[in-house]
Amino acid sequence: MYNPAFSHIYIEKEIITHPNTTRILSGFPGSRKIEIARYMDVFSRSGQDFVMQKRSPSLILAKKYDNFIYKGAPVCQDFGNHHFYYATLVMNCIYDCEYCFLQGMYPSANIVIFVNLEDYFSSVEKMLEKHPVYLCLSYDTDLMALEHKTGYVREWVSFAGQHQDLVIEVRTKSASIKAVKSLPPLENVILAWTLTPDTVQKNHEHNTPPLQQRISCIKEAVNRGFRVRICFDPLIYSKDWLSSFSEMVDTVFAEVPADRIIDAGLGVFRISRDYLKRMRKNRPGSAITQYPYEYDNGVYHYGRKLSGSMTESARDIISKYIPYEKIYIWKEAEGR
Amino acid sequence: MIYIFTALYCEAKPVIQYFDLKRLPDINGFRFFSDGAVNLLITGTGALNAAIGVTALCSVHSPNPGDILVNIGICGTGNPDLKTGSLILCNKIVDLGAYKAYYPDMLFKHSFIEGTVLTSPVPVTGRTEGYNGDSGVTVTDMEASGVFHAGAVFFKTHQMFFFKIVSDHQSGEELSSGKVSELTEANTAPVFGWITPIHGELQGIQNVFSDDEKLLLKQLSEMLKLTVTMQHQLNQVMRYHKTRYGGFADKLREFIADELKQPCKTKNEGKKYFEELRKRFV
Repeated sequence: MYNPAFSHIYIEKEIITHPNTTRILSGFPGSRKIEIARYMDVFSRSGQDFVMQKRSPSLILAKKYDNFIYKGAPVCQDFGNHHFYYATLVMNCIYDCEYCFLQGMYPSANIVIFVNLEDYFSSVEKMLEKHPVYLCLSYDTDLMALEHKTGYVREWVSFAGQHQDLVIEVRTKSASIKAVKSLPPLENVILAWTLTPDTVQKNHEHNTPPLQQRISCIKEAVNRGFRVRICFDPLIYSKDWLSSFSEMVDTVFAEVPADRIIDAGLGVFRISRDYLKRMRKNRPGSAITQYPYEYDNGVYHYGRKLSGSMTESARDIISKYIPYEKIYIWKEAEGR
Repeated sequence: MIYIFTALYCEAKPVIQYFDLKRLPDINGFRFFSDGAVNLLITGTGALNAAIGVTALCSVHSPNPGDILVNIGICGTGNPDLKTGSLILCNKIVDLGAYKAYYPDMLFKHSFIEGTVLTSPVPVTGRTEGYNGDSGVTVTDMEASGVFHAGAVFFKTHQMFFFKIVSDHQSGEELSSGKVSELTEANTAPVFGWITPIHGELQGIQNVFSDDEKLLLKQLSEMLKLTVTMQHQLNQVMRYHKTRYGGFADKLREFIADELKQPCKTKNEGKKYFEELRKRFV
């Protein structure tokens, strides 16, 4: 009944002849193309249904005019990096995770790809004249999951290869060994995988690759010499979360050599009030959005006691493999 | 419920016959037909009339998230490849009065021609499509932007569908009402044969609580003397329990029978039971 993903592609008239537009469109020969003035005319319409659109997301190709690089937000882990920034190259994600903040942040489930990478590169080069830059490329999307269509990770890795003071992090849930094999491992490129127990993946991370496939991809990346980070974030509570989590961590490090992982991130699910309000409306049937969270300081969470015990237990389990000092924990009280 | 809007009676006639709709009292002067599951309103020509018509019907019969809006009517085109009678499903609507574009979601598979409809404030006899500049299929009507603009107040972008049937090639020829009905009739079954299963799909999206569960929660709130805030908290706990475990009614009835037994005398007493409930159901 539903159209396949990207059956319709909306293209801003201004970038219709941009080389990245041409390249990306060549990957969608059967899609219907619709010309638009600005991406907001489609992406920011009122009255869109995020969950319905997730069943058949459209693609929007656009030009970004400003704010190419953002200062890292306090709710994001900076992994000890002082000059911490992120870039929004793509808005939204091909995966459909019930806990994802994007469904609270964006009015649409359609995916916007900004094609003018050259402007992002210029912006980063200007910053590098002043100080080193630690740049996360995949916060508002999963860039690696789109790599076969965009080639953006390869372009950024190539850019990083020319700028030693730039460190880029590409965070993903994807499992494309082909994509990993196509990239050269560089000292200033971090590939970060988000991992969740099988039960969470199967029930709440729709369209994502299973844990085992992600582990295989991590092994490939490690073997190729990439610097790899593992993110256990978010931890999702259920009555048996601890045994599922413990089993997952043991499975991961039975296959992935722990001494080849640069660090690990850890965070219990938390979400801003405004985002959760929209998420609950969007997903009335999700146990994640409908959990009766506790609220303070603009954020909903499991409650300090439960969040604290989940964090401590998870850290203890991870520390069997990764040294304590290399486990970065999102601390609510500090906002980081 | 399917909400259908046409500009003219001759466009509506085949649809009325297809669904066997009955004429009901006019709504704010707009002719209205219904069978309880399908509502059809004739708006008159022009985007402004269309917007007023949509607003009039939807204000009286409020749509729900499973409902669908359909705008169906004739259009002109300067495109010689589009034969008279061609059916276009619109993926873009441009209001030539405001030069503003609207985009209905295109989530569902179909075999129609897709294109842009330009809504003109006056009948078009020339090559109005020249204003658009888009490549691809373009047709011209006088209502679609008004239907979308007003429809967006009541429907989400995936609930609205715009069908245009080519009736002329903008040469200024007169069209008889019989000819318009004939063109619409030929496309009525394809349009509504496609719409009906989509309507069924959207109807399947239901509220989390059944009527029985809502009643049970209301009774419990009264027994526990819960404040409005705590009632919301109770609903949230049960919504979570239901999504996680499939239901709560039997377990909650057991709690009421075994633990609570009778209504609380004070709010403090109710609060204690509420905390106990929270522990059991989260």
